[in-house]
Amino acid sequence: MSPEAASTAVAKPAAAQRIEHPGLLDVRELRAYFRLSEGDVKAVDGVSFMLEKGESLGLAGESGCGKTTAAMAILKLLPENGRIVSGEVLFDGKNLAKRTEFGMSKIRWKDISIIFQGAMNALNPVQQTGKQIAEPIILHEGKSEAEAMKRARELFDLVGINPKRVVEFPHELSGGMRQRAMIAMALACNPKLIIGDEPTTALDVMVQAQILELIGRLRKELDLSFILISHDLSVMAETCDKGVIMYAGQVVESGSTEQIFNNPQHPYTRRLISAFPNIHEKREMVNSIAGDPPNLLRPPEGCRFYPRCVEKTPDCDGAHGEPDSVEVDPGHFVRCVLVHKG
Amino acid sequence: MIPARLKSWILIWTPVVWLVLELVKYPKETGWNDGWVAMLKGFFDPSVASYPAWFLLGFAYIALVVGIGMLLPDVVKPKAVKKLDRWMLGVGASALVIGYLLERGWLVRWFGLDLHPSLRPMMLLSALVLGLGLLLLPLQMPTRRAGAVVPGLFVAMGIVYVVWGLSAGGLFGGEDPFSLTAAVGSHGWVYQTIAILLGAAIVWVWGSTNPERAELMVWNTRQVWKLYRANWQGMVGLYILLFFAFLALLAPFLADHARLGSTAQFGHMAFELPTFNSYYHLFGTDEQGLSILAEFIWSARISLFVGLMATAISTILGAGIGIAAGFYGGGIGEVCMRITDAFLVVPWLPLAMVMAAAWGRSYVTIILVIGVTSWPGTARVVRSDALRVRELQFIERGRAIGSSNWHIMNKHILPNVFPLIFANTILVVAIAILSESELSFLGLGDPLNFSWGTMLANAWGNGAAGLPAWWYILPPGLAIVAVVLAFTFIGTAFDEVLDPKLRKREDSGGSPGADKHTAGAIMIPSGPVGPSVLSGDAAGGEGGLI
Repeated sequence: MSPEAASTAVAKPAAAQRIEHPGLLDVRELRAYFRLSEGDVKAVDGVSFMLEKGESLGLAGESGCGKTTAAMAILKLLPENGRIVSGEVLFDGKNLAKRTEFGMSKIRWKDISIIFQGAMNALNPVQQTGKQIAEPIILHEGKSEAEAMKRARELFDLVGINPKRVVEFPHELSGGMRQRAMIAMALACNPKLIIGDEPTTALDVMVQAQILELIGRLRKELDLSFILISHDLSVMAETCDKGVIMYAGQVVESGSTEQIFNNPQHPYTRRLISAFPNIHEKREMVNSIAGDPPNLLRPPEGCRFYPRCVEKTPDCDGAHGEPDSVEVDPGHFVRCVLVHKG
Repeated sequence: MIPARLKSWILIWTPVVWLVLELVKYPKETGWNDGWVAMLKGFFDPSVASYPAWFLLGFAYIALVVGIGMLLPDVVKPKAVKKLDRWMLGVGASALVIGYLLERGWLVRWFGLDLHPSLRPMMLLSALVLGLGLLLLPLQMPTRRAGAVVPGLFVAMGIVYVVWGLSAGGLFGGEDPFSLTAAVGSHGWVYQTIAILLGAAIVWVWGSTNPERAELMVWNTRQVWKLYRANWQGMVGLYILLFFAFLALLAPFLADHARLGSTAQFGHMAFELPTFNSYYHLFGTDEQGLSILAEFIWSARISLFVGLMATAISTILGAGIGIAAGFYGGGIGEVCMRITDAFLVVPWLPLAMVMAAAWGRSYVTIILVIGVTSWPGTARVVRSDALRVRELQFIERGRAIGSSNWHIMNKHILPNVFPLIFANTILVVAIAILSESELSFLGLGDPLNFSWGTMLANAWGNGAAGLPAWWYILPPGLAIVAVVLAFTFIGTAFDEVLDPKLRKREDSGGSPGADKHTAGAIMIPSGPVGPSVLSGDAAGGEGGLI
């Protein structure tokens, strides 16, 4: 990735100098708010990241930091009170943020598909699993039901389920199989990009490993781009080329997975990594991050992590404004006052 | 290969259905007294009245839509045309209804809107739009891949009904070829037999081309029946209902229809006490000297028929509006629910009375009146469940796939709320039968046919309460109570069968979540029941016996 391309992550001044060759997906300064009676919840507030074809990107952060909202905003699948306020979602050079609902329905699943979190809930309990996989094929490729079911059988084979089981109902499949069926469904229309919304969260560790292995294999075979939403940094480290750490609706640190894990620059990233046990080192208590995530109705002025930060300086508070995102290494961006000082 | 049990079901149920439908159109005047030959002739008489032609032609339309729709290839069914067709149906039908209301002058009188003279072109246009929409309806059917036999049978069935309808309308030797309501002799039994045999053949072919699905359906039905049979309320309700159904169907054999007409030839006195000396005196006589037993038996027909038909209208309206309101939420949902609320808070009886008075006194009117006034309850119940289903993740997945709202409502929400609609429908039958009695009691019933409500109205109007002629009041009163109770029992039983949480059981068996899903699957009928439901219930049953 060129430094220019990544510089879109930097705030306003950089927005003028647009690059000509965005990757497969280029999210620029995306803002998605939820309207409540008390005001707007700024769930996603100026998020930028970029994804090349065949790359995988991990979106990580605490619960409620806006990672799912950011991913769903790409497909404009926000709840009724949610809306994209500003920013661009360039997919193959087309700005999805400006598209109508009808225009989006042509993109959804055809180009970008989703692996949902709870496979039991994401499958209709009273419809055959194969039929549900055939649904998008019939819808987007105009195939007949028989052809679509044939493809569903192939997909079942691809994700490692006996193709005969397409006629079974979701409750007849095991948890791992359901998740595999969800992956098969995501692959139905040969999309360019798949968004995995915590695809392994509800599964036990063994099945989790199998599913991640499957996703990795399919990604290589089919040359897919992949966005993984997870609060589990170990999963992200294992599967992704790039990482984006979000906090309170903003990207606090982004870069390649090695940069983030070997050289974390933001205090939040450091704390997040140290909150996971390391099996290679001495056994010790894991560190939790004290305090609660801020209320996004009224996010704190200045650095959003400042109230919980153990390395805070007098420059961090609202009087000095929000810190900009700074490129510390090629492709490695950090939004922190400490980095500014050098 | 067709599953053996489905084969035996077809062999058993085809003659039963034939007999029931033949009994419905069996000549009213032919009974025991006319002898065996006349009675048999009643079934096969070519000159016997058949169903009204509009009914037959409507049935023919449905069969043709299904058959032709399954035959047409996907190429001629582009999504845009399908969507346009749905719009034409919706807009055409609503314009017709609005035009009708304006035409009747209600809005003119109430709101001073004087649009009357300009309405004709609008009515004509909306009827054209609706007609074109109906013509294009086959495009909505999914194309069938597994051979052309089933669609062909449907088309054949449709043609049979067209011919029957036209001959019943008088095209072949009748007096008025264009009358859609005339029901003259038409060799009805021949058509009826052919149509039923075609229907049986459709089920047969379907079963042999989809043996797995057929096996599942048979298995599910048996599981539901097993659970249902274990429920004493349901069985009591079923027995009561079967008793009255037999009464209604076999009415020509149980009581001479002529007994309802003139009194002179039978020589009965008014208000005779019940006596065991004579069959027709079992329940005594009424103020005209008519046999109350005969009235009672013939009333069962109208009461049950009106109840079932009104329920069909009410369920379709209520379920449709409920699903739409629950799924859309927001503006459309609010509008739907406010209309529902309006119907709920408007006092039911005066509204029904106004409508019955405006549309004239006949049992078709009563059916319409009850149908369009009793749906709000269903709508509210269905909406609440649709709201639950809407929040489930597979609806979001449907949207992420790019499905249309129609598709999501049709394929995802309806199947999931169906068990609830089904259980609710049975309860609505009870309400509809009660409503029919109320309207009839108030003198808005069909003057040409007896129903239990009409009998009560007559008894009240002729001072049976003062006499006291208890034999006049008790039979219809008790019959209404019994039938309403029967439907309530059956509804409660189905509630328990379909919702495992209500099932009485000592050990809880499997997880409630899994049970819930299988319950949905039972009804569809598509998915087999998990073992937990069965073993748990069997254990509960045994515990009860010991």
